[in-house]
Amino acid sequence: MEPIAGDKLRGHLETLILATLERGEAHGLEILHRLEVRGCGLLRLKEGSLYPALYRLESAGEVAAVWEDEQHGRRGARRRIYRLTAKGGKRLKQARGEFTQFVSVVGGILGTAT
Amino acid sequence: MNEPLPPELAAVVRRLVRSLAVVPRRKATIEEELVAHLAEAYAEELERHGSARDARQAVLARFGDAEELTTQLQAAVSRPEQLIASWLGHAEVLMSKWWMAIVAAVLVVCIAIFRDDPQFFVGALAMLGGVAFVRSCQISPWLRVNWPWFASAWAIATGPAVILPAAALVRKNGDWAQAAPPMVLGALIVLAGFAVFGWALFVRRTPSQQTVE
Repeated sequence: MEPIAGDKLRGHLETLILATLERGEAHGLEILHRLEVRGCGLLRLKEGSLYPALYRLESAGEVAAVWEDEQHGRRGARRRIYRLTAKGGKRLKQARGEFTQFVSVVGGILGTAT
Repeated sequence: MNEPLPPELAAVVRRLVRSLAVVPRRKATIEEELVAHLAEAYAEELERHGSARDARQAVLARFGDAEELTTQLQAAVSRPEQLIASWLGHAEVLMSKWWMAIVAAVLVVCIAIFRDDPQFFVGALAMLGGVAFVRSCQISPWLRVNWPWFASAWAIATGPAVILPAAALVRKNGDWAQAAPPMVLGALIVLAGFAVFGWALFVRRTPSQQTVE
């Protein structure tokens, strides 16, 4: 199967982030790892592009972030831990509904390869 | 335990963040978060490749184009914040330490020459205090973050001190012509104080709220 590049994810990245955070709070790299695992290694996302999406979600109040308490054996810069808010949960539910409808309609038109 | 971030990778983040038009708190947040991300990614790649050079290249490839990321990060910031940040950026350039030294020297000379004129003396002394405060904010990281609280408190306290004597003059003589300029000036100072206070609250609500230690 062909890998899915970042530009094909445009418009879906924020929803994907919300879905990964539904499984529990996480820092940036952990979110990327979750996306990789759930995307069966087929999502090719440039890691830096995660952060603008996280900041947009944070500004919209759909995720909340705090700095990690301690270094947990790490040195240097701290990580920010993101969690899904109630507003983010609502948006995720809505986006799931829209996407299911999209797949159903477009999939119905495209049909299966013969 | 994380490997320390190689200077080349830290420099990528620094360059990227420097060019962003965002308030200083957010800039610090983005920088620390990206540095933490790269440090962790570097540790992963170092374990995978064994060579520091290969690990660096792999991290940069994973991270993506820094210029593109700058554009994306800038777009993720609200327009008002971008305007404030660009205004602050200009202010920083205009109020360099040399300009402040010149202004302070002129004020000191003025204070020495007009020391017998109490109004002028106090005014120049206040301006000198203002210059010293601005310079302290540039030097102290703590003041650099917290200066709006002091500036707004000063303005909100000083404004009435200008307005009230003028109001007393109106009450006594009904002389609006003489009282109007100080009353307007005092009102402007108070308004500026509230504006700075509002701005400080706005900045505090940005994602870097918990960055100050």
